[in-house]
Amino acid sequence: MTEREVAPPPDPVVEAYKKGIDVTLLDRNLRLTVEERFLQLMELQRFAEELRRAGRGARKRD
Amino acid sequence: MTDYRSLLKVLLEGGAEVILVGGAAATAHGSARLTQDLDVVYRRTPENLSRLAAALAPYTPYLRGAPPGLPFRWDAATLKGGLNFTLTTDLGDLDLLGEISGGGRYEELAPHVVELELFGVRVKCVDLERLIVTKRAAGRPKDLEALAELEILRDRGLDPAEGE
Repeated sequence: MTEREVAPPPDPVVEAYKKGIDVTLLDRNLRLTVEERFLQLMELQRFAEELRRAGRGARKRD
Repeated sequence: MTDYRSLLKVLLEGGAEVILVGGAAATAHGSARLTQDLDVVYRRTPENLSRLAAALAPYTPYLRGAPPGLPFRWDAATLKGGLNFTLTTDLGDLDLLGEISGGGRYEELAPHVVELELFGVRVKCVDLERLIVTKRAAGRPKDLEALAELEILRDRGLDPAEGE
């Protein structure tokens, strides 16, 4: 028997989260190589850091 | 930003035995969620502790969130004396985990990995099914959302990472 066959019943919280997930993003990621997925992640981290920096700057000017 | 390319090369070219887990493993399997650090389960043999200590030493590992100036000594003895370390390094944030919920230690996790060619090195990464088990075991609110995404990825079929 595999682990998948003995998996616990669906968690209603997890099932509720599934409704909000954009599967088009997942499908796009699955078309990338694993290395491309990490390069994309690093680019996203850079963008998030830039947004944080801009937010700090805006708060200072207020 | 975490430099995954350099961190993985430093660890693996230094001969460290580690398994990629957590958010970075989820990225390998196709997750679209943003993660900030690199989580690995490391083998706790004396040889591997020495290799880990030597590989990371040039990148000033320090306890993440700790005040500066603590007498933190980065060496194999420190690794032996602890289990899970959340670190900052010059290459980004790194969690060195001796054991994880739902996955256990390196030896218990080792049968549940896929090998990936990533940035020119062979990386052991926890497989999608076991990653789901570990996220379920962790049980934090953020893990439940991550779990939902991982289950969708599993249900959409074979990820190329699983076939390598």
